[in-house]
Amino acid sequence: MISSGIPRLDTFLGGGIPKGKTLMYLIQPEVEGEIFGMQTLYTNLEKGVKSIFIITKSDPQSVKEQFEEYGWDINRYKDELIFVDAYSGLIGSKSNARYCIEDPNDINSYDSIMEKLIKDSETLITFSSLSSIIDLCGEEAIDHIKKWNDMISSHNCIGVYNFTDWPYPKRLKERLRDMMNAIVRVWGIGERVILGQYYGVLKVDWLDNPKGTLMFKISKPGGIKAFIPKILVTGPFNAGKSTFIRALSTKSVSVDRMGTTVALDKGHIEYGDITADIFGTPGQQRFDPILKYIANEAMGVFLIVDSTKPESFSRAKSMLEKTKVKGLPLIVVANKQDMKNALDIEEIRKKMQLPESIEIVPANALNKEGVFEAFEKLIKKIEGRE
Amino acid sequence: MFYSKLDIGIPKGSNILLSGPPMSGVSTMVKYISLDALKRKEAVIYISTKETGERVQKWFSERTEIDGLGIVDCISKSLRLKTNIEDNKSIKFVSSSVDLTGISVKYSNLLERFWNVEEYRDIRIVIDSLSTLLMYSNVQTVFRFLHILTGRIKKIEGYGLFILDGNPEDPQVAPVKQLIDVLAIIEKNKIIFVGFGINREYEFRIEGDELIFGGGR
Repeated sequence: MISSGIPRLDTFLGGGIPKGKTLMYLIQPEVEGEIFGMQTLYTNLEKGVKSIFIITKSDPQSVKEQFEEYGWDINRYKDELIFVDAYSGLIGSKSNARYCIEDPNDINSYDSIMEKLIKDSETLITFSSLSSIIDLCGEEAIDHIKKWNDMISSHNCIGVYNFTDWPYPKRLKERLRDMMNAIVRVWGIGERVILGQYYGVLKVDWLDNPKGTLMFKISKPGGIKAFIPKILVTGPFNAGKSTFIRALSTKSVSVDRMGTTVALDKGHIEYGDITADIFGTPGQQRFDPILKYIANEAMGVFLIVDSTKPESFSRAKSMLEKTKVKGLPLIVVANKQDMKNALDIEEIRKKMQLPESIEIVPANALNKEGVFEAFEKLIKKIEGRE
Repeated sequence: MFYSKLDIGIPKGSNILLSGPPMSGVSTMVKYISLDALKRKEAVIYISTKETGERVQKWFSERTEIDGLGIVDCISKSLRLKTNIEDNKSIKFVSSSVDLTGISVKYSNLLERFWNVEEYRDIRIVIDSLSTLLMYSNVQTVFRFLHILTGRIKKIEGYGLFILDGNPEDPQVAPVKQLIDVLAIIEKNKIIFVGFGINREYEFRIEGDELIFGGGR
């Protein structure tokens, strides 16, 4: 089995892509999806997997630069990676790749190279764009793709295809879907324009009941990251919410007046394979009527409390109610743990009457202590892993 | 409004094919139409297959504010004019005119910026030119690409302006015409609009930064 290299996808696939199988990324036009195949390829190059990359829309040099945009240097993997250049022949320029498709408009000219290359077992064969091969060669290409899939299966290789879901004839798409072992759909949401992007598994023929969807964003550098559009940070006045957001964020904005937040804090977090947008509420009571609007559509909540101020704990609990976030994943952050008179976690639990199921994380947001532990714990809860 | 000095009732959400023989000034005309839109604080997404993004940007910036201008440059990367070409806020690059998927991703990025972040509600998308796309890909492929793009233009109630250097009666172009609402044919200093019950002919000239239309028939 190899890793897909896409955040959470291996879990949805039951561990990864088994040998002898094919997987197609079915990508909605206008959505940045061809990076899926690239990320699968790069992840496996890093692990020393022998790989073949069939490129159809630009020459090998441009493709290398495309990888560099994500911070991936594929020059390091000269021994592991073979390019098949199915572009240069199209524009009549000379190719410096070892394998070059002479006439990319003729599907037969792919066959001999495929036969030559799909031999060694455990090779990963990635197509940068299967749709462009179909565009060039017509529907006839489908029979050949079937043949390549059979070769991949009998030689215990792995085939990964990017496929842009243009309005092709229905029959063509059905045949293509039937011949793939797994299909991962990549699509955009938004009524007028595309505002967010998801991926989800449509078919996994080695699992009984495949499921799983995830919202994602693309970072340059970095590649595909799981995306959590809204995490809420709430808590009483002066508990350290803004400091907590700043400590977590790569970028943050705070609308401050005299050192305290009177409107809204907003931060953007990039951590591991996750990106998230985080929003803070003001703590003063006069803002209570708007709390539930700020909290609307949040996917998880941090409740920040000042460990030195037990008198503010009831206010903290009432803020949770006012934000109407009951039932959402919640982490209580016990801030200012560095202070002498700070209560410890168990004392706070007792005073706040919190059940054991709610986790309290000790933190000192000023020094960034405990903030990422709290973040990891919340993500686990949001993703249902805990 | 399609053009402030020519209110001929082309409704929002329309896709317009502008064609004329090479050197007839179709590109220039579309640039002035786009310039007029920018001056009215509307947004323009300019997909350029013939000129670099930098040159297109310069042309507009010499004439007006270009806050609402976004460009998809299909040429700089394949010409290798510079190394390390990277997208910026206003200019996005694709590897070549073959890469219709890439073009769709980049105009979609710009749409997200203009529509969602900056809240423009009048957006036009220009392809300069369709002829180059048809040189690199077969007509069915271009048709599928345009099918998605023209659908998007209807959704945002914008305008699509697609330039064709050559004869729109060319049988090779026929499938693409199914997606077009209005045809504008440019000959010498005349422009003929056909579609939506419109059938009007105007003389035109360029004066300063403006396109001036003479008496219509």
